[in-house]
Amino acid sequence: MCGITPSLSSGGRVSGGGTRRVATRVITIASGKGGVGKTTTVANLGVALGKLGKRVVVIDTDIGLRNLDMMLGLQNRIIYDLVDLVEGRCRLQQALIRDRLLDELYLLPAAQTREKSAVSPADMIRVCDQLRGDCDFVLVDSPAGIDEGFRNAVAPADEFIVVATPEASSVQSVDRVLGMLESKGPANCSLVINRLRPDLVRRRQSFSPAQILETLDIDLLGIVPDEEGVLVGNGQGIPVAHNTGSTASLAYHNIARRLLGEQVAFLPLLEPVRRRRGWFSLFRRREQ
Amino acid sequence: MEGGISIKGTREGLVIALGQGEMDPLCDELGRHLKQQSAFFRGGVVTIDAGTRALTPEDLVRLKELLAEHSMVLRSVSATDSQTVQSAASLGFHIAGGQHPEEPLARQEASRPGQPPVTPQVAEPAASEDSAEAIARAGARGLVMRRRLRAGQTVRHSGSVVILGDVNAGSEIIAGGDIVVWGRLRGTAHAGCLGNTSAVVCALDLSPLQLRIADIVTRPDEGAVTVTETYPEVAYVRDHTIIVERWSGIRWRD
Repeated sequence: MCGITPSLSSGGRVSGGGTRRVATRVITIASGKGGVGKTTTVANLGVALGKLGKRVVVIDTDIGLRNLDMMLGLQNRIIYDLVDLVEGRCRLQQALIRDRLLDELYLLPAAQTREKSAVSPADMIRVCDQLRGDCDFVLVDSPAGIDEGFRNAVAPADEFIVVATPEASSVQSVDRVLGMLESKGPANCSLVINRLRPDLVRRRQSFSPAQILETLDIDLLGIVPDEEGVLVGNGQGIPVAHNTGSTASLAYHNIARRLLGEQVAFLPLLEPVRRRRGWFSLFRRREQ
Repeated sequence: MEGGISIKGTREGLVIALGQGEMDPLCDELGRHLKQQSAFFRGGVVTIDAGTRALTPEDLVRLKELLAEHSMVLRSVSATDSQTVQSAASLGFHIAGGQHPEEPLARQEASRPGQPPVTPQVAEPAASEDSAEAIARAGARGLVMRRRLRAGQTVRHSGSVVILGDVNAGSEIIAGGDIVVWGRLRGTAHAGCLGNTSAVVCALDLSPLQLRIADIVTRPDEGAVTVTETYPEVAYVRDHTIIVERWSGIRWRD
């Protein structure tokens, strides 16, 4: 059985009336469309935040099609999963799997054999409430789509990261997701542009970040270039964020630092765009 | 016009008054109305005003199914007859006495789960007995929205619609009158949806996925190269064709 640190296992959990040690941020990663890199983003942000000394729990809500465990190389350590937890067959600390490489990164895996309906939004809120106070970040990996699994993933979130690739289909589905997230009032959403191909942008064969932001009109959290190291890392179960020599890795680490409130300049992936109000203000437009 | 059915738009949704006569011809007539103006009615939330008619639960189910065929939701029944009230209650509809629904009817959230509460805002009574032009000419109060429309969002209004903000690809605006977008129009716009061919669509950047005025549909050239310069344009109907031209102080034809 995987190791659980004493503080997480004995944990001053909010639900247990314990004192809250840290302010936990529950962030759901969504995109609408599948295959744009939600799970990759969750795995790499988990690693990057973990390397910055934060305690992070990543939750896979893609019940029936789990794969976050594989990207972290933890698939052979799963004993209990999210559905076992919400159905009361195990305790939280039994379901959490500690990462092989980072002591402060934990995975709460999805069930492989059940369906999305095995978990409700209220279950997700309860699970995340149990984690509040004990870790710095909970990253919830949403399944593709905008139906049941999406509603589960969104329910417990304090903030959202939406992931888009530079394609019309991806941008439009993120736009749809943003509309849904904002339907109950202002939502704290920021954007990760994934798999950017600077060569295609320069040849005007792909959307530029500015074009994507023009449509989506939210804060930009980071741009991750399309790089084969990302795929290789996913395949090996060692996210690229462990690899210090890679631009994509640097992009993920920058995103992690921006999440922590640091002002980090964007990587010079493209020719700098001339802007009236300076480079950074392009991505920090006032809310409407 | 065939006497029986009358349809009005209110702020809360559509009110369909059944009038007198047998159910069969009434249902046929209602079906024809809904079919003719399906773009406008689609997604609408409906109150049936039964007046003094005695309706059985079967009658109500039939109406509900007819509305559902046209993607409308029967939410509420307004009646003075006790049998009708009982029928409505047994089926779980809201019951509104008298002519107006007393409870504010659910807006778009109820009619289309998952979408923000923007849509069926029908600000001005729009009786369908009146011709479409009459509604537009009456200068039905415009709906002004200061926001960005995102993919999947719909604005539907019996008068004219003004959006201060961008209208993203995948969203739609359906208006009885004109559509004005102070921003980029990238979604689908349907002006004059009740049949008014004198309606226009204008935008600072008019690049919709599809444009409709009354029953005429057009879409941009697919081979069009990416335009670097944008300028305000207006779309209108001439000789049953939608013309798009650069805005340069348009002269309105009477």
